[in-house]
Amino acid sequence: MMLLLLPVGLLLPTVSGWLTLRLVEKEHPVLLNLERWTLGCLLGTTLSMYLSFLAHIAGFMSLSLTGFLGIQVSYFLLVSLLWMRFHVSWHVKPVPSLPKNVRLSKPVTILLATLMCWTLLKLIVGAVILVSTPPYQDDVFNNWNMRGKLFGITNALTLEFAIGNDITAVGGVSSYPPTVSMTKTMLTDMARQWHEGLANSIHFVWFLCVLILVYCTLRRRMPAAWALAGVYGLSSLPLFFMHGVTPYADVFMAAHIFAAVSMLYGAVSAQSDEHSASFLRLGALATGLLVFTKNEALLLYLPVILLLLVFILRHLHAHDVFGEKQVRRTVSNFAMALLLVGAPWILFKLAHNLPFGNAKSVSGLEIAWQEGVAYAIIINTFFEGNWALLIPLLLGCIVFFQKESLRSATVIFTAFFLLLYIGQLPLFFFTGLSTEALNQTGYARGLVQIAPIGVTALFLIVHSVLSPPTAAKD
Amino acid sequence: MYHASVNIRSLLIGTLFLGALAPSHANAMRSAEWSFAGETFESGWEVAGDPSLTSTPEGLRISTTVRSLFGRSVSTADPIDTISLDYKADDYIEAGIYWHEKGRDNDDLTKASLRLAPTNGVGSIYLDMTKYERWERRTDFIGIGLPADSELIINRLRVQGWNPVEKLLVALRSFWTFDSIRPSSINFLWGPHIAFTPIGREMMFKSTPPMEQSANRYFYIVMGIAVAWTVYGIKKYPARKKKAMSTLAGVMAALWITYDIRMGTEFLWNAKHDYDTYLSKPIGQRTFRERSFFTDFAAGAASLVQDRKEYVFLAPQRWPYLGLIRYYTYPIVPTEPEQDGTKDTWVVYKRPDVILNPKNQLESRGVVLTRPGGILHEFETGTFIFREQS
Repeated sequence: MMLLLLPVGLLLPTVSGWLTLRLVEKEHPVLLNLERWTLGCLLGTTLSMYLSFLAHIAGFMSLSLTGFLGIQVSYFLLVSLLWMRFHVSWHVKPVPSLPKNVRLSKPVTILLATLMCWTLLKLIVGAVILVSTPPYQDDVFNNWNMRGKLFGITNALTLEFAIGNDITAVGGVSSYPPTVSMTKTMLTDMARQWHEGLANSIHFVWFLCVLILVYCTLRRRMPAAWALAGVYGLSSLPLFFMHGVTPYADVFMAAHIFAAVSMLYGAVSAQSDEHSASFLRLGALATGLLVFTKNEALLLYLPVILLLLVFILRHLHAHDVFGEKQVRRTVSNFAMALLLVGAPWILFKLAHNLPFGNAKSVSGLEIAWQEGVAYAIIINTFFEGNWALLIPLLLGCIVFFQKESLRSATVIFTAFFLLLYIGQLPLFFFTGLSTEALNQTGYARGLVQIAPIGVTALFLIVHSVLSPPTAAKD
Repeated sequence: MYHASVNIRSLLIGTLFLGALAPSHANAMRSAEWSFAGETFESGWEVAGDPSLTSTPEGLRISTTVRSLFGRSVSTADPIDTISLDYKADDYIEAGIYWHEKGRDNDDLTKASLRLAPTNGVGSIYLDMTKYERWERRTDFIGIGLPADSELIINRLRVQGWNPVEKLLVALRSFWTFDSIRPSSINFLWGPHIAFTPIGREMMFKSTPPMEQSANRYFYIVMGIAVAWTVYGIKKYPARKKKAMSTLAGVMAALWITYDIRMGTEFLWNAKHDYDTYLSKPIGQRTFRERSFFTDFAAGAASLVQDRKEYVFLAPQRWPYLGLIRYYTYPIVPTEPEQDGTKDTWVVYKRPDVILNPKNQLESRGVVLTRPGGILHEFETGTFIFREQS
């Protein structure tokens, strides 16, 4: 019964998120209905937690149910009022049409239906395991759930507590943005007690969010059957699935990364400048909030997203899709989103001497060749069960089908994946972070975070190789 | 990929046909066994060095003062894939397995290191000899080499060999052999592995990393062949490019789905295990993976320390129990015995060395740990909550 509090707790953030997205889209909505509700839930929850964080450090609220509700109601009222103000004056254009669905042969229909049932079975069993088994993995009881419980008990963003297996150590995981743990605090505050299943249940929502977002992104470019196959592809990655049904934050991070990058992709593949502009405004919002998810966002993902943004704006400007004014507006949107979210968080970190690395400081890393890393990476990537056949297939497709993967809009996904993947290898090869590869910890988590990007790129490439361009629906 | 289906089908039928035609004796596993228990000792054994041999009820006791070898000739008609040794030892022994390679002098033996761990009673060690590059399946001599000043009781020595059909069947079964969820599963999953001997299959996920081959290499072989075939087909019949690409995509999809079924079934198998051992059991009888009944213990401890600020926690090792118990009892925190503080409650998990002495004090290996008090709740011997008298 406690689990019924999950939808109750997510109701206001989701509706507020939906309204925020509509306000950002303005007169040119580009998201599918399902996509807007999904993004509303994902970004709305993160935005609510960010606003709670701001209000809390400003001394306006404690991390109690009343405090969380106060912020959520205020946020809802604000966006509702803005929505009512603008909605009446807008001449809302229709959402771009989707590619036509194709008639499938009976064997393909049966195969697809079987795979969907199989995936559904795994998801249901995974959800049951997630909410009904005790804390097991290290970061659950030493970080995410522990901090959620801590915030709930102290009603504050407490940074100092006994950490890991040490009795008196301080710091480390407190450097992570508190979004995941605060969401757990908010949910369990509604239950008036710490409830393990309820605290864990939000992870399944984030898992579903990323699956749905991949579906919607693919659906904009291909028939529903293909998009469903893409969802199947992502959910069938063994380590990604394991993370989806474990209270870890990497799928949460993956969902936010995908939200930001898929909007950039939408901007490049859109049919009109207004639609591109809508996608880029949404991308700015998602990128800003990305900073408030995990530490990797600031150091690893943000630079690549900004690099892609520069590439996109140059492309749109060169093809006369965007004028100078639109380019400047987009840059200012991104700058504002990053400033609004990034500045308070970075100042907070500096003020409390919290490290910027992945619970480790990135300053003072010594550069030296690290033995054994290449072998560990090859084994993890190609000879374990983590990624099924994704990596060789994706790399093979990029090599064999360069036109489809690198000289089309898909390049947003392939470039992001390759830049991130190849870009982080020197960290493992030449710095003390090599332990993350040798112990198979950080390296694999990094791939979990970009797995949705990789799967989407793979399906976009394969679809464009196998299917001629489909006409849009009338 | 033209005519691929026909050719693959022909290949499969041909393989099955050849398997059926194989002589019946080729399907039998070959094994030879020498037992030394009950003071039995068969002839044919040879020694080198200066070992002292004594027959005992538990087996043949071999004591050495210098490096020694204990071995025998074996039939070259029967190939050997694995060696099993039942033995008893009090200390680690850096021993070796020796064999004779064809074409070398009789005295020129090849050695593979063998570390024998101390045993509690008679223990066993299984060696998959096919892992050694220089292993001679049809060797005519095998032996065990012992270092100087060592003592070992050999209870039984067994050699086994399997024919190709049997190995293929074991390999297929090993693909569907699952690994359990463990703390490292959040970072990596071993995935399917292929073993060619039953012993290798049984031991597959019991070592880190697994000793057997990753099944991925077989997937890659099939993928490579499919790609090569498609490239060849497109070059030969450019007009059929689209069909060839579709066939290639079909092969890749089939491989992906096979992989997913393997890994998905492993997940469901683990979920069923969790259901059988944890979810379906009442509190007090349930266990969770390798953490045993810690969850129920911690919940019980949390209720008994809730009126304290801190308590002393003892467990077999710090990880993962210290972090876990803190999570369960927070804001009441665990401390260690040497830490300062006002703690009168001791939460003890699986520490049979910690006992209540006749003066009602906790004691470990003769060292008194607490003032007199009483046990508030005992879960099992060595697992309890103790509180000092105020």
